[in-house]
Amino acid sequence: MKISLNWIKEYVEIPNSVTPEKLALDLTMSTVEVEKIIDQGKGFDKMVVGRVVELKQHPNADKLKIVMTDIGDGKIKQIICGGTNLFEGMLTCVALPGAKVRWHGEGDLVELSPTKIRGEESFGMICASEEIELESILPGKEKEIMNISFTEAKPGTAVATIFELDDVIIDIDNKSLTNRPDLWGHHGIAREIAAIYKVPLKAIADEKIEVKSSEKIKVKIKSSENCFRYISVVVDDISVGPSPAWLKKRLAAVGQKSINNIVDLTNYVLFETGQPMHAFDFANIDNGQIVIRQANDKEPILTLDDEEKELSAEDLVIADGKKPIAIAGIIGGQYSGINEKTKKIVFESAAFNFVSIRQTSRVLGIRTESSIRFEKGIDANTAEIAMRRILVLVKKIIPEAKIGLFNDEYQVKTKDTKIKTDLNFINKRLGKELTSDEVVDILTRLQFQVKVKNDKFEILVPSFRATNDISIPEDIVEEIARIHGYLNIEPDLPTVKLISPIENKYSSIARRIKNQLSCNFKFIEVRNYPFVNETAVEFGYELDKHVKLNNYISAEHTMLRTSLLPSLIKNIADNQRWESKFKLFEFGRRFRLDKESKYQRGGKLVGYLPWQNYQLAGAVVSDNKNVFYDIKGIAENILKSLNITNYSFAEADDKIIFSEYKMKIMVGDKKVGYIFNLNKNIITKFGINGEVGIFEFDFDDLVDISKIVYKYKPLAKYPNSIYDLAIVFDKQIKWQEINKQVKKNSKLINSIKLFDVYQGDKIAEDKKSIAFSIEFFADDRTLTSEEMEKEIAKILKGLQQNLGGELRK
Amino acid sequence: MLKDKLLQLINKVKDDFQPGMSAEDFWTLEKKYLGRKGELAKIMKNLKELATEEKKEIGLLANNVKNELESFFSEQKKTWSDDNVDESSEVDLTLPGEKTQQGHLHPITKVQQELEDIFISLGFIVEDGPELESEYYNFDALNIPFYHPARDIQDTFFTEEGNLLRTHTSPIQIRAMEKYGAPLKLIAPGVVYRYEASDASHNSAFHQIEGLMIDKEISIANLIAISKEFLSLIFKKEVEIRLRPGFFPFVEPGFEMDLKCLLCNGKGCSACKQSGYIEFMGCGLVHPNVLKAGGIDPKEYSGFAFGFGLDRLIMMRYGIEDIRHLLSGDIRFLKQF
Repeated sequence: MKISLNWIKEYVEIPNSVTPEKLALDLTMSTVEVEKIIDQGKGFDKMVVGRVVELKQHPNADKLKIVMTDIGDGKIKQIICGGTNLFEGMLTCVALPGAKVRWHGEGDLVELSPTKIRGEESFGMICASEEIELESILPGKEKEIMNISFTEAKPGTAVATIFELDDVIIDIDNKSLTNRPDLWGHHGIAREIAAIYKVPLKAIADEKIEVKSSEKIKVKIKSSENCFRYISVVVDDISVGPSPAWLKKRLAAVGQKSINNIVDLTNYVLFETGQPMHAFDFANIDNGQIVIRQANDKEPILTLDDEEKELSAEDLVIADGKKPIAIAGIIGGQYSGINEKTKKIVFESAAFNFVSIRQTSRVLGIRTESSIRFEKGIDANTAEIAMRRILVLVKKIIPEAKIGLFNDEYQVKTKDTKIKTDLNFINKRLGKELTSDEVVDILTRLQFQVKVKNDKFEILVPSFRATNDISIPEDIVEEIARIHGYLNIEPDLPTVKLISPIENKYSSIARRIKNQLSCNFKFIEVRNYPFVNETAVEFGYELDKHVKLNNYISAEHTMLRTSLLPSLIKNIADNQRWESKFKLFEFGRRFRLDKESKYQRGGKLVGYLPWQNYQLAGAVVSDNKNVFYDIKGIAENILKSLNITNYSFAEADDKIIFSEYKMKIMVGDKKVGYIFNLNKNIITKFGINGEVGIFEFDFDDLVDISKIVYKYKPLAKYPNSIYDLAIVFDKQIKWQEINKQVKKNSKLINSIKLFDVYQGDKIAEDKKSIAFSIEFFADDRTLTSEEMEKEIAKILKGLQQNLGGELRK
Repeated sequence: MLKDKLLQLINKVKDDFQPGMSAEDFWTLEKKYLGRKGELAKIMKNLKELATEEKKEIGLLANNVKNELESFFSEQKKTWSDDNVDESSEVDLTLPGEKTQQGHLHPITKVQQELEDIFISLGFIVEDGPELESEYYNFDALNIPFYHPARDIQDTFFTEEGNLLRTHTSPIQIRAMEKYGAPLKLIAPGVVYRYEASDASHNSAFHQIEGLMIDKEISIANLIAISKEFLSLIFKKEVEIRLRPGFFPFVEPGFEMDLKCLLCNGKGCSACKQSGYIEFMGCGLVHPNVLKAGGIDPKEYSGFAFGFGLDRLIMMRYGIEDIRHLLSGDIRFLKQF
């Protein structure tokens, strides 16, 4: 929101020591965030009015013209310009060499100097409004330059003079105003400034209005839950025409286009009081009555900006005897709008339910200066102030106007807001000791009425602060703190009982595993968006188990992932542009509709939120065919680091359609994840080079079964003995069975390590040779060779009888 | 047999060689076997008397033996000369070290872990919550009524079954109050989502850290002090902060907290847009309605809450120009951390 300092000065005398920069800082620290200060006069050096004398085509550029321009004192200069709206006789703004402009409204300011453009001399530049910071005064279309023919100014006149650029504009961030409906006009900001600097505030001029006719329009509020107050005044004998210069200038300063005197006045009052107003052409109000009601379903209206809108029963409208003539608080209808023939008007100043205005504005997609104010919730008293103000002004600019009766339909009266609190509460929240007098002083400056007794306060909130803003003692704390100044509150570390924090098992285990993967196994951690689209079915994920978004930004992001793998696989393909071998992992939530999470929906909502456990997924990209075993080893290490020892790998019958070899990871009877490698189809589809092995764990399950074990095994006192065996088995015999069988046949085994699997022409075609070493060990003696041979014989026998294994010769 | 003689030669040399023998003896030994009139040469003389087939076989063997002897002597020479002669000029120590493969944590993870440690040291717990959240926890319980602009569809991803992707980490405030009660000190890091098009400084998914402290008589002065404390720990130097009014429905009073620009020290530069300060986080004293929603009596307890963006902090720290790099999965980016 733009605030004109000249306008503010009508209501409050800002101390001389306060520069605009200081004012902006003080407002930011106490009230609202000032985004920037625009000193209008600054930066218009060497910018003058120019008149286009002659237009010629540029010989070397289709889109450029040679413009012979009169820049005053009889000087005609050649300037090259690409403006599409140039014509001979046009008045425009010329930036002469030495002036600073912003090319096409972008980047930093650039100082001009005489130059050649495509071989033709150019003495300065003809400007678009965005190039010289005049966009707010004279908004321009793309590729058009400023047409200021309407000023009828003499060529050579300074641009700053033409636009009377003697104001300072304070631009306030609208987001910082969302909870302050009272600050959406100059008078509200002036009130804050008065409170900050302890200077008096002038009220909005309220002169006695001379009523010259007893006319009024019949008003009926049918929807009193959405319209609390409706003030209307009929004004006859007006003439619609251009606004006086002072009015135009004020509106220009805050970025509002001038339309005609009547509309400009309603806008002026809006920017001054924060109260949106409307003017209807009396002649176009059918049956001479105004009805404030809900719209009928599918009722049409043609708005002032020529948009056909279809309304619903949710929308509040201002209607005449037949049809809606305005969408209440948002925009007027074309039919009853003011035009140059209008002689008699009805001014409207009303208080609407902000919820209704907000909903309608959102559903219809219309945001206006009016709707953004009404949707914040405006004090019903302001409606009256605004109406009185506009009547004074209309009399000032159209003295012959005949003002009718003040017709005030005030059905739902605003109740007083009173807050009881005490000094102790305020000081405890502040963390600072203020006195009762200090508190009362601040509140009074902000126009609160305070009764004090024994450091207890009974506070009457001014009505303009009571809508959607101040209602509880905590709000009073804020008022005191911000005006007292946050910088005046000294930091003070809290004194609380020492309680050691509860460790979050999930987060600390997640951290440990992430560190393990990156430090020990050299993985790179990636993070992806959790979004996928229906192509997830290509990975075998079922569409109906996905959580689907109602609204999404891209067609590739329409649902939530049920697995991290599709994006991880894409990461591999993408990164192979830079490197061929690497390891990636991701840790993140995935979502499923067919299961419940442990999180309740809360409040009155029943049940639990959809399942959203964390998944830990990793991929090793390698040129090694045996990458599956790398993955298996990593998965085992993760399990071991969580002290999960009763895990096993089992054949996976589950569908992972993009895998070649796969196994599921079991802990007891519970499946906690998978290991597999990508099959040729997917490798080819994504254009991946090499082999990809993947592990995935359900992280939440893993944490739940993890254990904390602190264990130490004493070092062996007696030497171990290692014995290597190579045994030929049928091909289908699995290592897991062999391993089990070996262990079964000897109690002296410390460990078994596989070191070779051979298939080939040195043994029968349906056979394989498995070579492994067995470490024998006893904790009370050194094993003798006889003992060892006995053990080996037992093992060989077991393997031969149960698995058909023969010692390889 | 020539073949046997050749093979024996290697053993004879090794027998004759004695570790620690003098240089002179060493040279003599080498000459004895490999010299022009040495043992090997003597054997080779007999080569021409052999048949063609045999000549080939023995020739090959002789050559191998010769190579083996030569390398044996040069090996010995190396150990021998290292002790006696400075040969450093022949070893290029400037050759690059072996490249060791490295793993990398995501910068979000790294900085998040760092922050968690800071807060844990201040006695805060680390709490987590669902990303797919209900309207109740994301809005209602946080004193954001149904008509509040923040609930507009233009800000929030809604899901078909009637939930939403959390727009902030603040719902965890309520969940944690319900779980632990008061007093309470927690931080909650996590991904949050906004329904908005991505550009260099906005992303539809980004990361926040929520902070909450509830105890008896928590004040604005406490919030300022704790913030100064953890920010100084994050930036590893004393930082200056300022509070100014800011509006968030779940706090009252509400503030924006600015950090005195670390680059220009408040003088004004391009990083702080000449203001001397950088907007760092939204914060405030917990709104009594929020305490009530969490089952905590606002008459007995008060608290402060804050929330800041992790992505922005990381971008500031490393000078990252585009927020979208963080979720790009590009290892050229990720390997820098």
